[in-house]
Amino acid sequence: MKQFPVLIVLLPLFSALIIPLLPKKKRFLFGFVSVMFGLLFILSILSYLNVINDGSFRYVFGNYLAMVGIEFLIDPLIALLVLFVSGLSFLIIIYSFSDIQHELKEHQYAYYYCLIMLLMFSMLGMLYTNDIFNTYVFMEILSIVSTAIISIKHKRSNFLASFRYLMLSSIGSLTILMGLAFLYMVTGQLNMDSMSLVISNVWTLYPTNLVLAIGFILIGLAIKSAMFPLHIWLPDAHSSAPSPSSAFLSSLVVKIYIVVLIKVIYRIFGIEIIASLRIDDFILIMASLGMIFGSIFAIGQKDIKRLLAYSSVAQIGYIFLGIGLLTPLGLAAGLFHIFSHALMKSALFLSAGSIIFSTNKRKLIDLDGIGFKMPITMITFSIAALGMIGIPGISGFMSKIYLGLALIADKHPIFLSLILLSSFLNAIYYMPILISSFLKEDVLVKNTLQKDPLPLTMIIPMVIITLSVLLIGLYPQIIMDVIELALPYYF
Amino acid sequence: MVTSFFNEFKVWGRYRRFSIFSAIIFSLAFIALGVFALYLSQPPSLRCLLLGLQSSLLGQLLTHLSQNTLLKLIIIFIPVVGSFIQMIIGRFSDQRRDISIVLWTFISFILGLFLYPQAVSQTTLNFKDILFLGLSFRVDLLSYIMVIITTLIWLFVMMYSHHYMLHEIHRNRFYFFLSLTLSSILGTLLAGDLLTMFLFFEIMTLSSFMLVTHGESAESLFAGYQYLFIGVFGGIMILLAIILQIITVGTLSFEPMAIRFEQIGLIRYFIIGLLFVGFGIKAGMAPVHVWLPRAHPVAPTPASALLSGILIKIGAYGILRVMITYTFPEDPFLDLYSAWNFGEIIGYIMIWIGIITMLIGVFLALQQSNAKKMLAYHSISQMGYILLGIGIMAYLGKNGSIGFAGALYHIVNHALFKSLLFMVIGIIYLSIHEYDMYKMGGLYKRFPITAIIAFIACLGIAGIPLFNGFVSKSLIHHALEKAITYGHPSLLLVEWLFILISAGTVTSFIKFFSFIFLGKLKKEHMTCSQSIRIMELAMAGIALVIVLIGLNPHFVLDYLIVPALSQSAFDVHFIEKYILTMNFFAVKDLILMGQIVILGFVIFKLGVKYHLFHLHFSSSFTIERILMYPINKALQIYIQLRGKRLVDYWNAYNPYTDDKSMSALKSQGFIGRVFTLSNLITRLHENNLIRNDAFIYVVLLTAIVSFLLLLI
Amino acid sequence: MNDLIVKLISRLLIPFIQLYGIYIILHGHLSFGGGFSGGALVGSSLMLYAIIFGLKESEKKLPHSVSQFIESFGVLAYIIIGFIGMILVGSFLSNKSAGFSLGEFGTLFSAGMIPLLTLAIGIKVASTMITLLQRLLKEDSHD
Repeated sequence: MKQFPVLIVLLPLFSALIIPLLPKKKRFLFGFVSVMFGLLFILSILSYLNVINDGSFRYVFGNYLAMVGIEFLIDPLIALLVLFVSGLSFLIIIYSFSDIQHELKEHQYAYYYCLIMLLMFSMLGMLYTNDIFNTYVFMEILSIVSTAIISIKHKRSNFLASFRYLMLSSIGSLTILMGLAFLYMVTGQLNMDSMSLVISNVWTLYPTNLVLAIGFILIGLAIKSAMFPLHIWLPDAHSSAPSPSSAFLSSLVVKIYIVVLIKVIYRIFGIEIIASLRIDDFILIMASLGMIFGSIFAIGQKDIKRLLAYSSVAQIGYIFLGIGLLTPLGLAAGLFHIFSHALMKSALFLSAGSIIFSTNKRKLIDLDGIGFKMPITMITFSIAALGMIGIPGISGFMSKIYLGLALIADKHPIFLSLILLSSFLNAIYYMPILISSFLKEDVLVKNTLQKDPLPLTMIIPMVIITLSVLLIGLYPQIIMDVIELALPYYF
Repeated sequence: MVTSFFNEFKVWGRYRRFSIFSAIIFSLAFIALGVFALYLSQPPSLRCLLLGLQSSLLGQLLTHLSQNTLLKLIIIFIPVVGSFIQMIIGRFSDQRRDISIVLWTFISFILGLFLYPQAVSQTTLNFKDILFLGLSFRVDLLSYIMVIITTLIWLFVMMYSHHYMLHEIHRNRFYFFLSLTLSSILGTLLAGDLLTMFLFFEIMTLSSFMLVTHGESAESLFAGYQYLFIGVFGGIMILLAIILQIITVGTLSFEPMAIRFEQIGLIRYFIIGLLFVGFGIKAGMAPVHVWLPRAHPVAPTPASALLSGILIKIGAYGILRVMITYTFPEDPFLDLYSAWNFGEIIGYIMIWIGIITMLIGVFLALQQSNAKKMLAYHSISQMGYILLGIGIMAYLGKNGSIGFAGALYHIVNHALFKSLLFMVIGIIYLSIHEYDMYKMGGLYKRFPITAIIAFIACLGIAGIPLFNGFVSKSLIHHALEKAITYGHPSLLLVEWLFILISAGTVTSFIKFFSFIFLGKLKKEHMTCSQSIRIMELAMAGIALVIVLIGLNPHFVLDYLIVPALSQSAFDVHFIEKYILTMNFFAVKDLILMGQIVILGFVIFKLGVKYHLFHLHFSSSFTIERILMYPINKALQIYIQLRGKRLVDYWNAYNPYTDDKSMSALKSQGFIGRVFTLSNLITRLHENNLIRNDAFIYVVLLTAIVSFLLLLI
Repeated sequence: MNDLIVKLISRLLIPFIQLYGIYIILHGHLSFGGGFSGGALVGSSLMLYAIIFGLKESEKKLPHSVSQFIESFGVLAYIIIGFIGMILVGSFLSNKSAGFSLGEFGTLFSAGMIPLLTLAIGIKVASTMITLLQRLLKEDSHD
């Protein structure tokens, strides 16, 4: 049982290596990929149950000491995140079986799934690892693979977007490397726990180094996780990618970098140092600017996927708001919003992808009356959009309440009004889509209720994601209890 | 007369099944009401005997049903289930679907009647662990009264709407959302804490939005947009108040908490202000009523009747509930004078808000020529009456029971006659397809029974004695007099305005009735089709309730409202002295009413002669222009400062239309132009931002590193 | 290229480059270099062949399917060796405790599994380099 984390990390790598060697038949490939993902999901469920029952544990590679080797730390939150990531990617992969047939050429399917497997490998590795340089290695793999799944569609806009993403990502990675170098210079350790012990002793001796380190690491991670002024690569990248890639990138990849940031801030440095450097104020201000400006930029968009990408920027602002409070309640609220936003945003991207799949229309003007042609898709979209706005019963509302309680408990009431202003701005750009899809008449076809012209493998993931959004909205304890179990590891 | 009645049976004959079924349900409903009235009028000890079947199976079944705490939840879910079933039935036959709708509403009504023992004992049904704080349902006599009146009026409107909706499209969708609205209204009324009420309130906003935009014309969509955005904004206000309350007080349930509230300090004004704005948006309170005159006329008439009759009362119920919860002290402190201090200040503000609402409502109502719009403005005005009553209740504190009684009675009465008035307009529209009052006349010849019913409704709303409006208006007037004697003399101005506005209401309905029903019949209307009997039957039901309340006002007062009063912290002696023994037909009140009617006639004559009813403000005097004008100007100045010409502003286009011409731009209206302008600005900045990515990175990195280095 | 001198010289030179690269790979645990640099050397020899003799010849010598197989195999070998450690001891990539003989310090057959890993990585890097070059040349020939 204790070996499962390694198996979970290596299974995608193994499949990524096997896939190019398989016979090039479509059904064989899809079957293999789904079997591998199913196995991954089952392993992550077993690992999660194990952690919940027995408590967290550490796994050291190569039987070396933790200080010398690479260590995996699995606490309840990480186990839940791994379970969540594998489950959500399973659903997105099932969706992609039909969708990529419209977006990619036949000979590229194998490469696409190979890339997805490498993506899973690096994401799960980054979640588990407790060694900072190992994080950097996985981060590099993740940057390159996420660039590749954007540019696998050979169109000009994809190339431009992925090139910009690659450049900014590389700048980010190099910045993080610089910060790591400063840290290693001073502490001599690479393991996060021992590094934090040394830092708390060494902080008064070498303040410049540590300050530079935190500054560089923060900016580097801010580029990769799209904190406000450095989010610029996000709209182009997420809107031109194929739909399953957009769903992966926007719901999962960005969140993994945020989890790394949480580990750096809370585990390596500790909240006293961060608070004395006033970094939490910086994060709070940038987060609120992101919330407001993300929504403002989204109002003027004409393309539906670009609108969803800007909406991601705004929601990531919420998560940063929770993290920047440096209190247990705030961290719990931010972590809860990671889960709830991942679900809602993947539902939105999957339904937008379904619309593009069946009607080839991306602009908002063309979406009149589409609620009658594709009711299940639009109901998914509506429920997720209402969750973004904050209607009770859907998980977005619960994260707003948790964030509000955390903010007021920490005496920052002004941010609460910013959250509500941002909810109102969300309503301004989501509502017209909902209204025009259900109420306006399409110019060509009369509105009659039909079943969606989508294959079953696309409808089922959307329905399952919608049901989970509603389930977590009504019973948020499912996730909150686990988060509260795991909070002592970060304080 | 009798032969013509039976000749009209041909009209019955086309929809015979529905008509017979509705007639049966109609009589059953009145029988149930009669039994319930009889039950109420016995003293409590005799009530069990009245059922007479205490030990038999039926008696045990009935008592078990009414004591079951899950009944509250069942009542909320019956319309939801019914909505799905009627969608399935509606594919096959319209009649069967409408029969099922009437059946579901009737079942809700009957089950609602059975809630009475729980209303007296105020049991709570709690669900922990859903939605993080748990849902709870509770019914007390205040919400009980509102549930009864809601389901009763809903029943009659459902009987009416079958024929009306046969002329509209998308009927299944309409009934689906209508039932969903009923469900959420019952949920709001039966909620036991603020979070549950908020949940159902949001669902109610969303489902009634679909009713407003049912017609799908440009006007409906615009009205729907406005309704939705303002509604969501109100919801956000309430959410903010909920969060603040969880932090400061710790509990959201509806128990009196004035003392705890006082310990919070100044933030309690903010919380109450937010809740007032949030619920007041739904109730048509003065500054935020702007959606009401746009949304109510464009909906189909059954939906208008229910929107104006019931939905806005839910906002008033919310305000009433908030007032009772936050300004009434808990049990040990009932006699402490300073405990009611908070209530006095809030009540005083609410009195003035109420009067201003009444004034705006009546004044703008007199200017309208569209009958539905006029009725919508009158809704605002009558809601002002209710808000006035609530304000007086809070202002007088312990002695505020008259204000409560007046407000609650007026909620009941206004629901009755406003929905009746909308139904009258609907029948006329079905035949003539015209809403403009000035183009109608002399219709009593073609619609005799409708004219009689409309007359009863007009007498009701005008407050003529022997009809129900008089009862509630005189209660509020008495409350106002008490407020003047016990309180601040500036309320004398309020009383003069009250008299003036009542006279204005009389004027307006003289205008309504005489322009539509009296006078000469126009030539083109001489051969219009006549009304359908079953619709008139539904309207006659409500008219009958109006007359019954008017003839015997003490019934509702003593058996329903006074027990509701006794569940709150009001002074018992005051109730006994002033309310229980109130003589509604006292000479003083009758003389006052006579003066008001004469004043109304005088204003009417003057108005017709000097064309006072046609004051049209320029189209730029709407409230959104006043709010948005500074923003628009600021954005224009910003664009000009950046060097772009304003011509580019005209050439920009709305992301949802793609049409670049100037006429398309102008047709978006003022708000549309503001949006297009802001889109232009964001698009300017978006490209700049993307092009300067490396620069932004460098600037930010340098700034943060130097800032951090400075700190150590 | 069609130049005779270049072709002749490269035919003489390529085996020596490969020999040098294999030396670097094999002595990875003893001296500088290791899998990555040794693999780069072997790969550069293959790249030299591709540039001089043309894309078609290079594809005949090392077709795409073979290079795909080699690349997957390289990392798979790494994983399988790690699994041996996991099955026997319980820790991925265990060295001494999994039973690989450590030998004498400084000789060729020492240090447990590290030479095996280095070999796998060397083969993979070489194959990757030639695959990238073939890809670039193929793109170039399309335009």
